[in-house]
Amino acid sequence: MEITVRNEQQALVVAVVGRLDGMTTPEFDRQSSAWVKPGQRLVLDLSQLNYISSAGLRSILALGKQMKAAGGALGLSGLSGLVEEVISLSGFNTILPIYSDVASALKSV
Amino acid sequence: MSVNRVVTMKNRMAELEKLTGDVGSFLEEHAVPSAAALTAALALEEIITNIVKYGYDDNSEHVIAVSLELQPERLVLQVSDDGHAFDPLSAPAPDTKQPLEERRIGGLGLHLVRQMAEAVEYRRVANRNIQEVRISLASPCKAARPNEGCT
Repeated sequence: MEITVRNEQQALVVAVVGRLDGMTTPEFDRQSSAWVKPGQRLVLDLSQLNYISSAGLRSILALGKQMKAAGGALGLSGLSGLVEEVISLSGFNTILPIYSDVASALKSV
Repeated sequence: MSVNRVVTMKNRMAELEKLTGDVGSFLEEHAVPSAAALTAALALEEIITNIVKYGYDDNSEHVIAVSLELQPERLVLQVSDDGHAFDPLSAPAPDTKQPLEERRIGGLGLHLVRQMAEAVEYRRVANRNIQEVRISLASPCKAARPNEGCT
């Protein structure tokens, strides 16, 4: 897993590349705590994520709860393949806004 | 005509990465479509994590065995462990409709496996749990919507 963070239109865009699983979530959790700030807008760009397990869902859920508590906003963008299927089967598409790409996410998040 | 492989690991989370790597190499060697290979990786991660974390009543070393059978139209995974009897199919489906604040992850992993596999079966044989997962090699699009055109 690789994580790259950039600022775009006063929002944080975080691209997660590769696998978000039981092996990689400790590193994701370590980095994600720094993203939570009052009123922060955050887009998780998952267009290059090809695998996620329930461990990865747990990390995204924890981040979503922290963002909400901080009065921020979290959106997911660019889901495809197994990642899209897992997010949908777990019902995460009903608790977090999903966008086709980063550009459309930035307009709404 | 089918191809078979058996891989094993001890009940330590640190060994899971090597096992899923070995399985991934086997599936790649036999040109299994990536969608099916990813579903297989998910099934193994969820099932084995559950066994290692909750399956044993002692701290001793145990062996978890995974057998792979590659048939023309499906991949059959069998995960076998000597932990206490646990039928994953008896676990209630998680509530996937709760709002963000109340959402929990417990039970979600096995729910995903049940939903994404063609079939999941459990049996207890001679003090071992055997979980069998059958994964279709057809594209998920075709499996879900057989009468529609798929891209």
